[in-house]
Amino acid sequence: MRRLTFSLLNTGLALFLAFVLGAIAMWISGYDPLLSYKSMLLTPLSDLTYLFSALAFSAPILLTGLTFAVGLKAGLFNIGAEGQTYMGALGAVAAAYLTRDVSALPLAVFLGVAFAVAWSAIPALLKIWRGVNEVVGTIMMNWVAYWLVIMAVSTIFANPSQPEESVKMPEAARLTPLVAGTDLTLAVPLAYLTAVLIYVFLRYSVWGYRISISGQNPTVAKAYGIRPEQAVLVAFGIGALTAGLAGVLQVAARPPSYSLARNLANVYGLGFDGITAAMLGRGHPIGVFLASVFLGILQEGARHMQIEAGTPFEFIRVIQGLLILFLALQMVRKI
Amino acid sequence: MDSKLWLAVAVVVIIVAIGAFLAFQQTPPLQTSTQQTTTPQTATPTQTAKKGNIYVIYDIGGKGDLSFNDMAYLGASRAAKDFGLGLKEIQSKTQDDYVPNLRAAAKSGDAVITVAVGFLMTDAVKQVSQEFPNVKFAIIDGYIPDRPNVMSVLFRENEGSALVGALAALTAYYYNCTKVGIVLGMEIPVLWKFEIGYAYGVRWAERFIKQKFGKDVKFDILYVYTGSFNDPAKGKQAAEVMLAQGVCVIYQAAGATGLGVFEAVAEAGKKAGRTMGPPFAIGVDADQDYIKPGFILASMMKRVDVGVYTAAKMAVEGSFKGGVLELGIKEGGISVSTLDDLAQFLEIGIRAGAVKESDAQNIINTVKEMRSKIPTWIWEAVDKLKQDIVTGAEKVPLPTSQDQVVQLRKELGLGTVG
Repeated sequence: MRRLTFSLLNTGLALFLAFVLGAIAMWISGYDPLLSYKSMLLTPLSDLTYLFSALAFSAPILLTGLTFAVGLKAGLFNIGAEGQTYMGALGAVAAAYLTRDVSALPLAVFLGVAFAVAWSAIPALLKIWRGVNEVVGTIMMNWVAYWLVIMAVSTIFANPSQPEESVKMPEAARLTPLVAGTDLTLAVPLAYLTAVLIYVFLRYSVWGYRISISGQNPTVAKAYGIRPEQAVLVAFGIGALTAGLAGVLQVAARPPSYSLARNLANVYGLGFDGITAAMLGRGHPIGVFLASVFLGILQEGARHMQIEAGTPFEFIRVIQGLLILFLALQMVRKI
Repeated sequence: MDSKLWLAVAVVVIIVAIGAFLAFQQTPPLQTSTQQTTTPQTATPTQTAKKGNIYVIYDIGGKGDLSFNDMAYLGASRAAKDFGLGLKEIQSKTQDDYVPNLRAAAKSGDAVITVAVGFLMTDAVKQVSQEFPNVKFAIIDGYIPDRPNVMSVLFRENEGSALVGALAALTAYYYNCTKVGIVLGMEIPVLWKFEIGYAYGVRWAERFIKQKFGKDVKFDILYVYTGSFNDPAKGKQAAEVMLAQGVCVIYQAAGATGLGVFEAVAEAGKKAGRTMGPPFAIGVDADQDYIKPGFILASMMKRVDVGVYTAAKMAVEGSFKGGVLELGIKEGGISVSTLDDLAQFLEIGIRAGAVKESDAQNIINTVKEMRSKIPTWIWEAVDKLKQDIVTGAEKVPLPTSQDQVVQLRKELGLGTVG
């Protein structure tokens, strides 16, 4: 209980500082911080369309956040969610290319998750066999994925009638909005359900126990008869599963395009937003959930801040950057 | 537990904040200049008092490109001023922001018109215009012909490309050269307009020379699709190949890839010991003459500002209707850059920090000098072609299908780089 209070206090302090500094930056640049914050944080909650839009933004961030959170549990600094999301999206596009009916949806989930898991296996195995640091491994794989997916989308999977994007998900296989006129699709409850499953898995399953023991102390884990390498592999795999799902859903469940942009504009940066969410949520699935909803509100709030206060959306990035900085300071301190 | 650390952080934060504040206080001009470039907060209350707003939605590229998006802003702010409206701008962080951004503008209830800048928002505008049938939308460069509340603003780039094609060929003729080229981006239907229009202009110049000097000149027109819009290195390579084959004027229609064309041309010129062309390049979309002053003959300007302004004007005056609004030379949507345009774009460049204020006059002088070296009969000839296009005496072909392009390439004698 004491620990929880402390970490809540620390997170709160980081949030507070980031917003205070953000306000100062706005004020210096000649914008109204109060009006900006009001439109950023309250307007998204004032209307169901805006709220659903915020939740739609939270879904992929939650999924990539879980990738990082599960890694953290196993003592890993897994920042490969970015590239694994690209691969997930690529899997969905490949499915859309192969079949033109409703079967594209299950195929998309299968291929997307399979691609992402395969992608994460490389840095995981490199780490286990050769001791390659997972940060280096995953960053490299992110870039390889970036160019590989761009190449695939520009060539085989290109959409002849819309050169800026890939082939579209067949209409029957799309997850369309649950409430007409909003962005709320099945992706949102699916992502939230995944978070619950991950929570249950980490807390109550044998593998969850193995992962957290190896994460806290690999030597003790060995003494218990747990093989830390296996825990690393499983943690990487679970992380890739959620990141890959995020990529699939960005293609299959995001109106209006239901495709992957040639410049990856609809998946780019999700993995890094996920790291923010995981840090803000202190690596706990429920914390990550709350953090992703908060980040979703920020993203939705950015447009209302521009409309109501005329403040450029870059200030959202300033605040997020500061937030990461303060959270990272705490983490470094702990290590 | 962490109290010392936090105290240290807080102290640093406060010092930085005070320092930053003092720094800004000491340089008041800096502060006013930032207020000019951005919408100052003081403008917001007055805006709401006005009778409505123009909403401008940018795609992920956004403002600060010194070209397309900045021109859209220019047109919107001019329209807002002229018609007493407020201006609300929304930048998109990701592709997923397009629909919510358009929705937020439509839901506001005070949008006189909502302008989506860029064809990337086509799908989003299609969807949101259906959700809000009573809100007026305009999309620049996107093609949505069948919605009563969407105006698709398109440009006849083929006409402007014909003008610079003529300019290229006549300039080449003046410098005793018979090869001109064009470097393009991805081969998408829009770019055919540039390619074919350019070639048409070159062939027109041949007829003009025959008429004026009685000489038979045959130009080689080389074209190459680099396959990308954001790879200056590729553009440079393509231009170098052309230059090596004796091409002396190169038109670029390749976005940022084209910046490499300028680079190659200026390098070749400097290697030959010149401070001005030949060889020359020709810019596109915005007035790019200042990028390599002395080596860029002119730019084929696509007046996005005119497009946005016209759409807003029609919405205000009640003449707005769904469908396609095509802007060509006649409507002022397409033009060849002038020295006045240059001054305006230098101003944008200075505000964005891309051009130093102290260099501006130098650049203008260099471009002026370069232009004066091109004989007036060439400029007059280009002007004549312009008049003929406006009156309809000259019809620049407009290819819309692959078959047509192949046919036109044969007719106009375009050749690949080889």
